Parts: sequence; structure tokens; C-alpha cells
Amino acid sequence: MAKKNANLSPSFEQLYTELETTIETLEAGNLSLDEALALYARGIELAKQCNAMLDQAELRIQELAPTANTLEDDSDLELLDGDQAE
Amino acid sequence: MQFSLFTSTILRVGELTAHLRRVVESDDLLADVWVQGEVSNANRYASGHFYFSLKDADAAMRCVMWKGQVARLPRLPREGEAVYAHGHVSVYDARGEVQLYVDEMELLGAGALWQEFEQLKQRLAAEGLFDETRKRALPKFPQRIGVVTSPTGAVLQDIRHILERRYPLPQVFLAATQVQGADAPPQIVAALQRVQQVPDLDVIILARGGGSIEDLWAFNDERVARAMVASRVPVVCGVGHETDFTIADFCADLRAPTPTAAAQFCTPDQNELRANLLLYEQRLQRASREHLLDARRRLIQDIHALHRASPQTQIAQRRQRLDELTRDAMRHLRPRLERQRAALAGAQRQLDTLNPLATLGRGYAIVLRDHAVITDPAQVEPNDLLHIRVRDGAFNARVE
Repeated sequence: MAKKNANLSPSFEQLYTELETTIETLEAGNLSLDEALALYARGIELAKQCNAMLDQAELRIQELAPTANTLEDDSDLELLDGDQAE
Repeated sequence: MQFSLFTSTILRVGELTAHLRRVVESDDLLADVWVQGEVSNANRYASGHFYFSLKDADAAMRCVMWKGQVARLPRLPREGEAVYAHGHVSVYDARGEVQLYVDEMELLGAGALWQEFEQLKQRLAAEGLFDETRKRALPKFPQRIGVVTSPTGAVLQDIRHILERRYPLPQVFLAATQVQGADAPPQIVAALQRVQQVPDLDVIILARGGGSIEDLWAFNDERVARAMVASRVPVVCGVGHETDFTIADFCADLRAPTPTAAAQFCTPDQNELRANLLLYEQRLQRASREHLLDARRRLIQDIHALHRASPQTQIAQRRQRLDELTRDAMRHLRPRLERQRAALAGAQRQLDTLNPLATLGRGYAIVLRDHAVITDPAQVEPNDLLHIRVRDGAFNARVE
């Protein structure tokens, strides 16, 4: 699923998907040795990052104030704005 | 008001319930009565006895049907099903509850609630709200999960625990709502709309713990159904109930049997992901090792090719070619040589027949003087030294 927040650090999905395509490319062959070794290094790095994300993850739960749908509740807007900060 | 120990009778609870039971049981109507109502809160215990409520719009009565009578029913009544029940009313002392002890029951099929439910279901189905084709796939790796449920109670905690265990990466946004009672449907609708205002929301879990069909009735509400269908992100419905489906189950992009299951369906399992990552690392290693071996094979081939192209090899090649050419030349030359040799032999033989010396073989001699052949006696004088040649040699002689 494409994410709009491409400017933020990559999502787990992006890393995991890139890892899968890296492996497929590497396994398909037809690469120079330099390319293959670069893909290998990238793949190992991606796997490391994925594991680290799982290790460090902590579930965040936020309650939306009941008035949020009127778009008048400041605290709620702040909460959403904070997440969308560019 | 003053109690007097001597003028008033003070009953123990047991005495009160026993008295109540006697009063109830002495009533002729209550001893043999038919009651019409809808079955609710039905529970069949391991003992085989069947506990339920009979209810209509404004009243309810606890009922029990013993195992032996239950066995005579064609089937157990469904939740909400209308029945005629026959039995006697008595008091269950342990709780002081008036109960109908049912010994016979006629199942009338769908009750009023049930009929309402069936009609709504058919109408929404005809509109296409339940169509599989409009159901959306859930994201594999949700980053933002909306949860619409009661903020109190176990459901939210159950969902939290599952997410923490399986996949703690996403942000969870709770839109709290009542999930039971007359206010619940509009609140659920509002909560669904509220949670959709979270940017980049991936999926919504609409959840409630188990309960009787009345408790779950908000999930059979048309407004809730339409709000689910209108959601811009997939909705997973996790309403805890074992047998029957609610309208919300049919409308959901995915139906889960419990809130816990709903949270499971929405997320990958990090144990699986970790196992996959391990496999992926192994595949990376294997594939890169293949590439290294391949490169080495290519290198060896290159060395062979280089070897083949070296001057030494060229010289060896040409030397061999020269040998071959020489051999070819010899092969072509030999017949001609043979022919010439044969011709030479023929000429030799001819020469032999013409050789004057050959005449000597027959006993003739050649007489020479000073290398000149003597053919006339007049050519010699006495005492001339002559050279005589015969077949096997030569000798000298003097003329007399």
C-alpha cells in the first residue's frame, strides 16, 4: 500500500518489500559480481532494520475525542497534526 | 418506624422464599400455563438442562427446561425465536427468583426480532451491501489501525494484547462508543466517521464482546451497516458470538468471530516475520555464494581462453599445422615419384639392351688402343699395346 509519508523514515512494509525484491533480483542471476555483492549487502542491511523495528516497536494507542469529527477540538487536531508534520 | 420483636414476625430469607413458593404454587393458573414469548439468553449446560429467558417487548421471565423434556424437542430454539412454552411457575429459593419450569414447547420459528432482522438482511443483501465483490483486502502491514469499541471492558484490552504480541508497530486510534442500548447505533456511526478522519488510516476494527442477541442488537442496525459500507478503509467486524451472524458481520470487509480474532486478522505475526527474515538472510547468503561461484567459474573459463590465445599456443598450433601440411604434400608427391621411378627403370632397361658392353656377355671382346676402338687390322702394327675388354674385365695384349 503506497504511503504518502515517503519523506519520513521508511515503513516496515517498505523495508520488508524491498528485501523481498532484493532477494528475487539476486536469485534471478544475470548480475555482475559487483551488483550481486551490493544487493547482498543491501539485503542484509534491510533484514537487520526489519528485525530492529520489531525489537523496538511499542504499541501506541490514542483515544480520539468524541468531538473530533466537528474539527473543533484543539487537542485532537494537534494530535493528528503532530503525526503529519512534514 | 420502630421494630418490635414481639409484635412483628421476622422471617429468615429461606422462610420468605419458601412462603413465596407456596403462594405461587397454590395458584391454579400458575400450575398449568402456556406462555408466548421470544427465547433469549439461551444456555444449554453440560448437564443437558436448558436455561433461557422468555421475553417480549416489555417483560422477561427466567425459564428452565430439564434435560428429559429438552430431549423431546425437534431442536433447540434459536435466539430471538418465538415459542409457546408450557409449564408451571415456581420459585428458585437459592436466588429468590420466580421461574417458569417448562415441560413442553412449540417452536414458532422466527420471532419478531428475528423477523425484523431477516427482513433487513434481505433488503440490504438485495442492495448489494453484502456482495463479496465490494469487500476490500486488508493491508498486510497496517501502520494505523482504528478501533471502534467500548473504552471500558475487556475488548479494548484484548485487542491491545493481541497487537502487542503479534505486531506492535502500528499506531492505534480508539474511537470510543457505546456498543449496547438504544444510543449505541448512532454512536457507533459517529465513531466510525470520527476514526476515518485519521490520515492514512489502514483498517478499522469494529468490536464488541459476546452477549445475547439483544445485547448485540446495535450490530443489526441499518445505520451501522451503511456507515460500515461507506467507510473509506476496510472494516473488520469482531463481535463475539458463537452461532448467528449480525448484519455488521455481513457488511464487514472481513468477519471475525471475536475481537481478538479481528486484531489477529488485521496484523501479521511478528514470529512469522522474524522466521521469514531469517530465511531471507539465508537466501541472500545462498544467492550471493552462487554469484561468487559463478564469477569464479567465469574466471577459470577466461584463464583457459587466455591460454588458448597465447603466442606459445599459436606456435605449437602452427608447428602442428606445418607437420600436417608436410604430410599432405608427401602424400600428394609420392605417386608422382613412383611414376618417375618406374619411368626411370624402363629407361634403364632400354639402355641396358643398347649397351655395347652387354654384347661382351655373349663372349665378344672390344679391342682398344689408346682408348680408340680397333675395327681394322690395318690400324695396328706389331708390338702395339692393346687393351682388351671382355665380359668380366679387361687385360692388355701385344700385337705380333
